[in-house]
Amino acid sequence: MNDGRVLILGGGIAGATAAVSLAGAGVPVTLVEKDDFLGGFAARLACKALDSCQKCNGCLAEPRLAALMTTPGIDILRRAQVRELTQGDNGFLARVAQRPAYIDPERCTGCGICLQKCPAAAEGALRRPLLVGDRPPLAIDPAACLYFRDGRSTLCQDICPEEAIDFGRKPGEIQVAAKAVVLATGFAPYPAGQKERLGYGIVPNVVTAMELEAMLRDQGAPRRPSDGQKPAKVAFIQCVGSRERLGHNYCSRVCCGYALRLGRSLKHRHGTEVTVFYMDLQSFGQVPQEILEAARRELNLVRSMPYDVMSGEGGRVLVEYQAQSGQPSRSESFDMLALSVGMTPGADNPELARGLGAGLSEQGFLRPGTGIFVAGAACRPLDVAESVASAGRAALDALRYLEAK
Amino acid sequence: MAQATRRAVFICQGGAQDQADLDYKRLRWTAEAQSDPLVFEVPQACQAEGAAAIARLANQHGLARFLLAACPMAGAAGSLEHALGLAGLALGAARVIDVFDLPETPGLACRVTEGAAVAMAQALAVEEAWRELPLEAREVAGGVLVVGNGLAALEAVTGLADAGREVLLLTPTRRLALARPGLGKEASEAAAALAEGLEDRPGVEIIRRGSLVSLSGTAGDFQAVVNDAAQRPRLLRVGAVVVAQAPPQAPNLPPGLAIGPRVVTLDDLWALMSSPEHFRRALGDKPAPRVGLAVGLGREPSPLGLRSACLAALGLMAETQAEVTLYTTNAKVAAPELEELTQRVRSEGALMVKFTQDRPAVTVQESGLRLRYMEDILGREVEQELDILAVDETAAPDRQWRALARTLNLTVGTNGALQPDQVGSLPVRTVRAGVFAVGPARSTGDWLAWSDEVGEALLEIEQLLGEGQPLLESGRVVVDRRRCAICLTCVRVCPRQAMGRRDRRPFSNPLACTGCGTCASECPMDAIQIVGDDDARYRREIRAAAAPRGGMLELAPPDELLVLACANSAAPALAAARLSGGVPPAGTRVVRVPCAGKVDPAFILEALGQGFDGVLLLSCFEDACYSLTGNVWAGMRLEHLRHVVSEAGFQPERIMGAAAAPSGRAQVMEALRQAWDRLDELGTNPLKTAARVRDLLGRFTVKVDHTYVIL
Repeated sequence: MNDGRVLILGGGIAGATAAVSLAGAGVPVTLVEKDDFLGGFAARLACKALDSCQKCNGCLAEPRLAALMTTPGIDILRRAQVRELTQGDNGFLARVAQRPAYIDPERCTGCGICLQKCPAAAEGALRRPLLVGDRPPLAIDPAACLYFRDGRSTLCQDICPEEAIDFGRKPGEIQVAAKAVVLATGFAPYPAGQKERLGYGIVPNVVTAMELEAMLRDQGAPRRPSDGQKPAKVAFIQCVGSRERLGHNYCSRVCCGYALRLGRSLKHRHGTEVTVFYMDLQSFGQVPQEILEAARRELNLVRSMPYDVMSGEGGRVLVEYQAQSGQPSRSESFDMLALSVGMTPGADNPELARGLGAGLSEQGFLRPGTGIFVAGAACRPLDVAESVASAGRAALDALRYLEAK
Repeated sequence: MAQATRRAVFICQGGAQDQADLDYKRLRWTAEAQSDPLVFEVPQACQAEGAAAIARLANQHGLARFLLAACPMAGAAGSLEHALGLAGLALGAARVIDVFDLPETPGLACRVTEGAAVAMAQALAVEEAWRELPLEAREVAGGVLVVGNGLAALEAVTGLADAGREVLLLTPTRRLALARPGLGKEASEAAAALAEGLEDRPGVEIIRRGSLVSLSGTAGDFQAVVNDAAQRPRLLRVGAVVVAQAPPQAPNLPPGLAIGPRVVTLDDLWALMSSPEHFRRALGDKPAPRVGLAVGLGREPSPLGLRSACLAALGLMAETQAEVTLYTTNAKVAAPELEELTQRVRSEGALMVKFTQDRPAVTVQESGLRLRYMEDILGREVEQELDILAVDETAAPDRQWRALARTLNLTVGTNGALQPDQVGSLPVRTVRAGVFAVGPARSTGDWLAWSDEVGEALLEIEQLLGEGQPLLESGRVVVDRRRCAICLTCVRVCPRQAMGRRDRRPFSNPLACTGCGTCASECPMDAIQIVGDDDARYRREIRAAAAPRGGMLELAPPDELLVLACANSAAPALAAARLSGGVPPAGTRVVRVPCAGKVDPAFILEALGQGFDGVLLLSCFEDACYSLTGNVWAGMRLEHLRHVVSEAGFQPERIMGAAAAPSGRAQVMEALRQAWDRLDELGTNPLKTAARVRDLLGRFTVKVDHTYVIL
């Protein structure tokens, strides 16, 4: 049965915006999200306001993601991935594989007893959703859960007062017939560990800027992973995984904006001394001059790309760089180092492009095909506001396509 | 007219297992104290059985809407909505009140929360004000006015015409300017394709060298006066306006350098390049002219400037023997393929120079130019001679541009953008509902982004105007004609410019109104009320939040903080904090307001009079208000009120304000902690005892039925 529905891949800001727009125009929508929870990266951003808003546009996502869950006409499949998509005369037929919900969304009340008792809670075996109203209120991460290692640790299943947990559940498969497909699968943050010299995963207290965002969002303050202390001196390194001659040969566009705003926010709210190592400061959007001028006054901006990061005493991070060409290199010590990782194409993109008949750009981002539309950072590095606009464009194109059919 | 429905309350028995518990009884009595309510107890509401019971009872009693007392987690987790939906109830039929806490140990019953009876009383007070408003088909104008002359404007006109709308394109120039050559061939071709045959399309009209004289009215019903080339005015009625015009551009020069025969803009250079003969002559017929392209010598440049310079460099090297040098400062490569483009310029043989600190010293002579600068990599001063230097352009708002902004009633950002970034207006809205700013009018990004913005704007216009007769709630904003002095304060303060005039009286356009309530609070005659959100409802809710105060003998009840939380920012942040395990300190009572701009000083005085020890207004951050200025108005009112109460000998510190973002779960908890710290310093509200005595007397005289319980 094909009721003229649109299949949307991805439950982040772009997928949510496209879904709400299409459902608002009376088109039935099935949205497929591979994670346990909706929200994507936009739901993980922190507010960077000083006394006034710095226009990072992160909170643009909140009302739109909330609307995704309350707009009628949108079927949401979490923990699901499209395995196969075939295009026939009557539109698309998708075979969607769904991971089992070990915690039953119908029964779980979110009481959190499992979370209190879980021996692997610190490793993230049980996760809470990113958004209010997302379901189930808790999810098990098989990567960290002990049961999936030993097959015996069923404490949470045994103590759940609602009997909502069942490790015996099996994966499912669903067929979705659709007239059009919107790819809103987003981006993958550059894996910082690949740049070994920058110390991520090796030197303690080297974090990604995204991890710093999460700290600010959830705890309200930066904390050093090694000892939980508030860092007094923080450095950012820009262009980690961006503007590489070999590899990601493009500017990720958003990193300068978030790093300068994060830096100013740390300085204002926590008195942190902030240094930013950069190549060229990209300030697009509407507040370039103001943010840049303020950052020049308040932060220590160094035009130099550090080439080595080492471990110092007391969990400190030593950054080696050359301040100016021809001058000897310098080593400076920081309490914490944040790597401004770039936006790279999703790992599934080649598979998606092959399986769906969508195109692939030279850099590996997705391009539209017949009846297939691309929204948000799946098509190129975009910020939150641009992703919303891009999803609007994709929804409009999909609507026009459906009308013409 | 609006009708009152019978109120009904369901109490989830997940939290009702210990029904002898006094807290539980108090919850039930609070529900029953309301006039003529239906109160039901149902088994666990978030499970299928309980939801089915609710649906059965709701159908039996014809309840389209009811209150449901349950636990916050079930509400936050969406399981209630889900179960009720499965049982066949409409989405949003239930208003959930958080009154139970889940048990700490498995197998035990949920506990009634400390503030359960208060939450119940508050919900009933809100419910009492709720009115269903009739839907009315509102006739709107379906046509759209597009202002601009470039790629984005042409794309908007085409898209609107494709959707069957009448479009009037107002271009400031005689020609439909094609895309600037600096945008690249793809853009020029796209623009040329869009312009072709546009004028002959049915429903499309183009006014060349026209200007917008005035734009009055509100979304769906604008009256625009436009002048044509001969300055003849025309009156049009349109439903929406799209501004897609670029602000005027000026050469991006460092101090001391001026445009002349040797120093031109990139656009001028493109014009020269379009005719090889002109180009040769301009450069004195030199076989290998030395051309410098500079981006960002003055202000911070944009990716558009860099793209134009790179494309010009490649064109020059391919078609002439020119020696090209590309000068940059902060190289703005933040656009698709621009990084690769700069690398190609270098590999094709152009010299690239980056100025990190100082700008070059430029001497202009008749025969050419000389640049002297510090070369970073060589580490010494370098002198370079050029035949011509082309500089990028940046937005330079002039008088005409500012006049256009004034006519539209929008502001201009420092970079010339027509609608400065603001959370409530991104990505394509402006502060004036029904007026959209897209593409070059608001951003210095690349043209791919402009196309997205045009698409989003078209979608918004379809949602706004629909088929021409959208069904809208009527009568949400009520202006009392006997009180209104037609001072038009409401028209001035409305953040969405939704207030217009009908029959010479203020009238709120439901197409544009977001119900923030700023007009109601700012009206000097107190003539405006928002149905369901009127002042009386807040006074009732605040009294309800203050009322049930422990036992009879407690003359000094615990400290209480009233939080007025903005529904756009602080309220979702509080819900998110709750989801991640944050619990507001005991004695915190939250009243949700549609916007800080709705908060009347009278609410705060009411709260202090009712014995609250402090009032905390949680609004959006400065410059991030969803209703633009609601937080500014609220801040001014708080400041004024602090002054007034201190004159009266009351501690102004009890009136507090803080900001939070919708994502600010840590921010709101921190704000609450700081407010409670402040209350700890200040001690008990001196008005509390009086409020307490009044409250007890009230219970004796009015609710005689329940006195025995209190005693």
